[in-house]
Amino acid sequence: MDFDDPDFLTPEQKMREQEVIARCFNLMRDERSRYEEQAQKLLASEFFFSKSHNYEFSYLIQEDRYICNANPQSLLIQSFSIEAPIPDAFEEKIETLVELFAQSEAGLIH
Amino acid sequence: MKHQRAVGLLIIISLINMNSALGNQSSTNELKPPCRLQIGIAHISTNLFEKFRILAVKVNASSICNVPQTNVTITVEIWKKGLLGNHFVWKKTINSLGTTYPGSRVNNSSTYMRCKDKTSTYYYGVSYSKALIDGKWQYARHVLSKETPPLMCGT
Repeated sequence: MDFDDPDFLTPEQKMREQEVIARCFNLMRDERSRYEEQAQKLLASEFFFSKSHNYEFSYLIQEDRYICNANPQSLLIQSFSIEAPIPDAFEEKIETLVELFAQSEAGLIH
Repeated sequence: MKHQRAVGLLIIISLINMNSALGNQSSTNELKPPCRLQIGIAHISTNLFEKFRILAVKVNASSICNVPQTNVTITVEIWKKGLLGNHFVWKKTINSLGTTYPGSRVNNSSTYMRCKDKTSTYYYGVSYSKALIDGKWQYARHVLSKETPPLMCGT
């Protein structure tokens, strides 16, 4: 493994990359109505909490950014956070949040 | 008298040699940072597009240390160039579990964002990390992608 090429992924990592990003896109399509409802709630109260089988997600609005903190329900899973800029237009705000919800639920590429 | 001058000269030469030897020693023993953080170039995964017709801009980063480290945290930010300055696009921070042994890589391969259209855009990544080494937090400075290629990806 060449450290000078951080883009280098093993075939297994490539597979995982495809799985995770494809899952994210599928979630954006299949769970869109749920995510849009969540987005409305987050925009109204500046906080939203949800759970998956692996993680607890806290979504909040801080200054000009959306923030997601993903805390694992098991000590064997990595925690992570995501930050995204808040767009000006309302439709784009919802769209960015739909992607934020989908990325957080899709998980990490190991 | 000649003998005294010769001894004096010898002492001066010895001192010069000693100084240069110490100088060499200090440069070879210069403290190297225990960890290296590298970030890749922003790219679109061709496999994803070929298989699923999915377009996403992605940046990967890796950290490697020559000492054991725990609580490794690697952040990757994606930025795009704009006419009136650069724009923050997306950021993901991953907190690794347990101890990472010398020579093992810790990756953040999970930072990506969907392309909304095929507008040509210049992207780059910024990465920084921290880890607990020998009971102290060590921070890796921000590193930037070496190249900023135009990608057919509007975000």
